[in-house]
Amino acid sequence: MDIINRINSTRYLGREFLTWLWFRSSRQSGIFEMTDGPLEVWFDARLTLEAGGDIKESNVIKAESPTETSEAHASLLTGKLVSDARLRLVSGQKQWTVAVKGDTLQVSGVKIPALLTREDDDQLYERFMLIEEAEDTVAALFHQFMELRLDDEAWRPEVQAIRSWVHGVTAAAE
Amino acid sequence: MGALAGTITMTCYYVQGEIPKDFKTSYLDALRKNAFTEIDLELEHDESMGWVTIHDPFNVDFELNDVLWGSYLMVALRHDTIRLPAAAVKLHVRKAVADATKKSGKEKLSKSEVEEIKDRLEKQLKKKALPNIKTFDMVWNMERGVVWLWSTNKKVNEQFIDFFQETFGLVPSEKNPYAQMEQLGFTEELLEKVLDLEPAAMSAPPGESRRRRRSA
Repeated sequence: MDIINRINSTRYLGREFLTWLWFRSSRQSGIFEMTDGPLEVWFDARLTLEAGGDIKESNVIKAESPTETSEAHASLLTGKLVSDARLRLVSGQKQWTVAVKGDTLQVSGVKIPALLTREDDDQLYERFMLIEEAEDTVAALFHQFMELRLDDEAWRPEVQAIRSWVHGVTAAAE
Repeated sequence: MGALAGTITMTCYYVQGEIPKDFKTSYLDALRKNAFTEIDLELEHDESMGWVTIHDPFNVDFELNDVLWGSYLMVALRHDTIRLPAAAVKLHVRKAVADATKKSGKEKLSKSEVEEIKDRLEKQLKKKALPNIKTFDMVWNMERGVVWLWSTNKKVNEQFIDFFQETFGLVPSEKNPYAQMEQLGFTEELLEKVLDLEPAAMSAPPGESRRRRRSA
């Protein structure tokens, strides 16, 4: 398969990743175990869910905790997945907010933690390091998801748990 | 908004390929060759694009310490455009046509005569107009093979990809789940396996063992 087809045929995994992130965040009180230690992942401000296939239907939810809304859960039940999310990432004393697009895994709209250095040059270096750290963190979370997704044994119960969550939470919201 | 301060809204690209050993000279030469130049009105251009230093949009004298900072190459892409306000042009043309008609003694000028007046007037007005200047910072971490462009505008990014390739001879490729997997070092076997996966149907009723294809 040529590279263009490989890219296009796997884009949906970005949306599955963001939706899985929501599921895991809600189940694990936002905490993910990473190589460097625990990381908190929360969904903030704005969440977009889109239908797949040829149906271009989407729901944009703007709320302090958009994943807590009944609208968000109802969207999941109709088969929509998270296509755009604003995430708050907390690692130790550091906190970032980033916007992530599912189809491309582009990280933008980054708010970095306050800089600790004083000199101009050091501050620029620190700024770039913090942006790269945000990108690496999202990449590491995607890595966790894809390792699971590609492991048939591990994915079978995971997807069942996700489906129970989609149906169980929606029922509670109603 | 830019790389040095302010909002961090950018598009990220992977850049693969070998960086030449003499990049400190060859990339400076390439930047100078593709540096920004003023809009050429004689050639009836409405826009111009090229590299400038990240600290000063009017500086095209690329020196090493303007551009390279550790493993980072930092420049800005400057894009100037001249757009005449349509309503004002219409008024000027109307007046010029009226004056020319009166001077000619004719009742009405021909279509081609009106077009000629309009073209001449637009050229004159463009010479007086101040170009709109936009700059988009670019930061390339050459060790990581990642480029950030401080713009999420689709057209700007399309132009950037071509310009980057023309300047540095390397192709920036956009992020996507497959490329991310490659960057993360997933094996060839897993990169093949991922192509056989089907969508997970996360909203299917729990306990359903057969995966449903999401309907179109």
